[in-house]
Amino acid sequence: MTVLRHIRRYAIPGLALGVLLAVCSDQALAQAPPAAAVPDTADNLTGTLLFIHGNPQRALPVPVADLRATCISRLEAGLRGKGHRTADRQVLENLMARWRIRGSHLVPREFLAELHENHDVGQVLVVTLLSDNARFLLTARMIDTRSGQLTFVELKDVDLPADWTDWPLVIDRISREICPPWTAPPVPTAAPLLVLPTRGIASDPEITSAAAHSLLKTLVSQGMIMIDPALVEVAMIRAGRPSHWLDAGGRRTLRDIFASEVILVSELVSYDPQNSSGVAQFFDGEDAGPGRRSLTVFSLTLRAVDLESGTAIRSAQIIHEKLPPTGWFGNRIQTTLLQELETTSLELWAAYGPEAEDD
Amino acid sequence: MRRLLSGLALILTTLALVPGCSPQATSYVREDVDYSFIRTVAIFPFKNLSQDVHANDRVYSIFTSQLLAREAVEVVEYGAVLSAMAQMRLNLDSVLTPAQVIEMGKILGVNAIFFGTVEEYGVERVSRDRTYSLTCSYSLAETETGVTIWSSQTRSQGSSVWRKIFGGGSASLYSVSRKNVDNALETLF
Repeated sequence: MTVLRHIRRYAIPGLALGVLLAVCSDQALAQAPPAAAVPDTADNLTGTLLFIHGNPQRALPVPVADLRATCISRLEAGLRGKGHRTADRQVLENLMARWRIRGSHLVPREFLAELHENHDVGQVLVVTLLSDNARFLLTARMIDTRSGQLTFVELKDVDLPADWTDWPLVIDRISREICPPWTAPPVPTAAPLLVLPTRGIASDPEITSAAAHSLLKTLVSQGMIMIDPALVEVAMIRAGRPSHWLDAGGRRTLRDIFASEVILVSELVSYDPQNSSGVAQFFDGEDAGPGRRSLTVFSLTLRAVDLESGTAIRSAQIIHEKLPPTGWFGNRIQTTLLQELETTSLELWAAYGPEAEDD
Repeated sequence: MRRLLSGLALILTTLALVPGCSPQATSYVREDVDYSFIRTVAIFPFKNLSQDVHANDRVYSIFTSQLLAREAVEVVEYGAVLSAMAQMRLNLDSVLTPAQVIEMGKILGVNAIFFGTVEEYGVERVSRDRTYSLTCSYSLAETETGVTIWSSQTRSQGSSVWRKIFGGGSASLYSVSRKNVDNALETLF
C-alpha cells in the first residue's frame, strides 16, 4: 500500500514534468541553429567518390549510369544538407580516370594530395553501393585529403521497394542517412595507426566488406586515429606485394611512408555449416525474406602487429552464433547481419582492450 | 529417501566426469629440448585432407588466436610466412625438409615453426544424430636443426552425454575446432 501511495504521489508530477521537458526540448530543437557553419576557406570542399559493386541490374531494371548519376546527386545533396560544400563532380571524375581508380580499396595518397593542393578538396567521401537481389548496402568512409586519416565510417542497408519505380526515393533516403555532418579537419598525428582491409575466410566479398566497414566504424567511434586502409593497400601493391604480406620489406615500406609503428590486421571467418564452401546463400536467413545473406556462425579476429619485429603484440577473437529468430513466449526477435556485425565488432573491441589505444 | 538421494548423486557425479566434447589426443614432446629458448614462432599454412575447402584456413585462424592468447611465444604474422614461402618457392602442399625449416627460420627470424594438417572436418553421423567432428595433427620444428620437437594428433566431436540427455544438437564447428586446438596446445604449454 505504501508503495502504491508513493507511486500515486510521484507519478503524476513526474509525468507532467516529462511532458514539459519533452515540449521544451522540441522547442529547443526547433530553435537550434542549423548544422555547423562552414568557414569560407578555400580548402574545405568535400568530394564524393562512388563505386558500384555487384550486379544492380538484376535487382533494378535501370541502366547503371542512371543509378550512378542519381546516387551521386543524392549524396551531394545529402552532404550539402549537412553543412558541406561539394566539389565539382566533373573534376573528380576526370581525376579518377587519370589515376585509374576503379575500387574503393585502391585510393592512392598522391590522388588525395592532388585533390587537396590543386582543387581545394579537404575531404572525400568514398561510397560503395553493393547490390544483392532486392537489397542495397551502402558503405561510406570520409578521408581527410591532407593526412589520409579516416574520420568517419558508416554503413546502411535497405530493401528495394516492391514497386521498383520508387527506387530514387530509397536512394535519396539512404544517401541522406549515410552522409556525416561537416566537422573541422582533424589535426594530423605523428604516428597514426595503420589498418589493413579485413581478410575474409569462407565468406563472400560483400559480407567481408560489410564486416570491414563495421570494424572500421567501431575503431573510429572509439577515437582511434588511423590511416584509411585503401592508402595502405596501394602502398603495399606499389611495393610489389599483396597488402597482407607483412614481411620485412613490406613493413619497412609502411614505416617509411606512414611513420607508423603498429598495424591492425583483421579476419572474418565463416563457420556456416550449411555450405561446405562457407558462402552463405541468404543475407539474413529464410525468415528475413528472399535475397538476403546470412552468416550463422562467424568469428572476427583483430591483431596488432609491430611493424619493427613483425610479431603480433595483441590479439582478440570473438565468435558469433546466430540464434533462432524465436525468443521467449513466441516473440520473434530478428536481427540483421549488419546489426550482428556491429555488435560483434563492439564486443571484439572490448575483448581487444580499451588500453589498446596506448599501442 | 536417503537411498534415492545417494543414487541421484552417483548419477550426477558420473555425468560430471564425462568430458564435454570428448577429445582424444596423442602427443609427443621431445624431452631433451629447452622450450624456454623458443620465443618467436611462425605458423606454416595448414594442409587440408578434408572435404571442406576452407577447413585448414578456419582451424589456422583459431590456432593462431589460441596460441597468442597463451602469451607463451611471439607469433610472426601469416603474410610474412607467405612471403617467405614465395621466396623459397614453396607451395601450400610442400613438406619441408630440415634444411628448408632452417632456411625459413632464418628468413623469418623465428626459433620454431608450427605445422598442421586437418585430416577430418565436418559432419559425422553417430546412429541417428549428426555431430561435428575434427581430427587434426600439429607439430613444431625448431629452426636450429630442423628437427620436430613436438607433435600431437587430436580428435574432437560436438556431441556429449550432457547434450544427449538434455537435448540440443552438436556443438558448433567453431567450438569443436577450438576444443581441438586447446587440447593439442595443452600438451605443449
